[in-house]
Amino acid sequence: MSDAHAHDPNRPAWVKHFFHSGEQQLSAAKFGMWLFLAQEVLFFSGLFCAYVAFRWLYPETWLSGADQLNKWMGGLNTLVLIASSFTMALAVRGAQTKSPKALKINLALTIVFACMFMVVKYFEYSHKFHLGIFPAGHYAYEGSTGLMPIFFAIYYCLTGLHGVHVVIGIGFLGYLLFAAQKGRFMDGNYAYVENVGLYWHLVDLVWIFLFPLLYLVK
Amino acid sequence: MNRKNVHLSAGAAHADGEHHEHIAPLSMYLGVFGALAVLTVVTIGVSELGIPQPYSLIVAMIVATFKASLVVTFFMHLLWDDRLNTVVFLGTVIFVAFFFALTMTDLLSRDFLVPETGNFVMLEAEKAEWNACMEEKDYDGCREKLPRGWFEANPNAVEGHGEAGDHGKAEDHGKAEDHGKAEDHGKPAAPH
Repeated sequence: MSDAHAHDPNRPAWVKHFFHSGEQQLSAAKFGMWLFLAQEVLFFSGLFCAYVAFRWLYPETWLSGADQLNKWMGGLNTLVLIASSFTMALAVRGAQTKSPKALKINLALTIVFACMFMVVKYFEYSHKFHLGIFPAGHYAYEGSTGLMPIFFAIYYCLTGLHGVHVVIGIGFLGYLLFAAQKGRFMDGNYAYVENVGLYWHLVDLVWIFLFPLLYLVK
Repeated sequence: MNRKNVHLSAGAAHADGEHHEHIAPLSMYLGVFGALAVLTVVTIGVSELGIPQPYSLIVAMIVATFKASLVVTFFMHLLWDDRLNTVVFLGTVIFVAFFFALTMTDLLSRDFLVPETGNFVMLEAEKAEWNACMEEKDYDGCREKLPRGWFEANPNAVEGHGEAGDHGKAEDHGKAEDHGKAEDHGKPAAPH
């Protein structure tokens, strides 16, 4: 079989011998990524479920907990993340249209937006740590009532896990930019770009639900 | 629109190895980005209006779901993709819904425990606490020990004890004669 393919002059070198075509190979890679994203959604849903259960049990705690969060900072981060999703989609389009310039510029912009997100998050976290708002058992802020440690345990788990995903995403985006700089992804084999893109959009998707649930309780 | 279906099956493969991915125009990406930004501003704006609690959450979740659908449909290319990927994604959403629904049936059903009749299972420790405070006629104390919303769900729980015709049982608990007091305390408590 592989011999037959090897003699096919129209078959790109990057197509593995067990695939019929490059299209099938990319399609299989993407399907694998979607299965991984399904796992990611279910994995985050455990924390969202804890959120739903505790919010139902302690609605007042949620109201006063959201008072401690700055909705403008959260809103700014939402816009930053949406912008990064937009540039990521354009980066994939750059790979599709075989435009190295569009690919590299948009990957770089995505990394810049991702870093901006983390900087805003850093300011939010450090402000809370300054007040003594630590997760769960370490909670030491005296100016609040109710079961705030529970609210902030969930806040830190959800935003922290999301933040870890952003940092991992920055790593992958950096690798893509490095590889694009070396001229890769222009031969039609852009499965890496597309799959990192899908991951990045999922990170955006999680934040789209996190933001109103944590910052806009009222 | 030329939809491509199930490339994982060998038959649909193109012999030339060249793939014919749908390339969406720039204007579409810009439009989706604009819509997402506007909807973000809308959610923050709605939260400023001070709509009462359950409705503001519903509005926020509808807007978030719409934004998520835009991202999934256009940025993540599900509109032009293999249908199999859509099945995987929607299947995940359905399982998340199961997960939430089963958790909530547990939490919601805790409101409808009827300790007097023994309907539904109550934890032994909770039952002991309930019996102890009922014996001491400490109805406010009992109310605090019950799960949230129990009195709203069972408004006649305390007065109903004497009226239910179950005199033997009521006398066992020693509060049938204290009817006036029971009525004062039997009104549904405001959620705290």
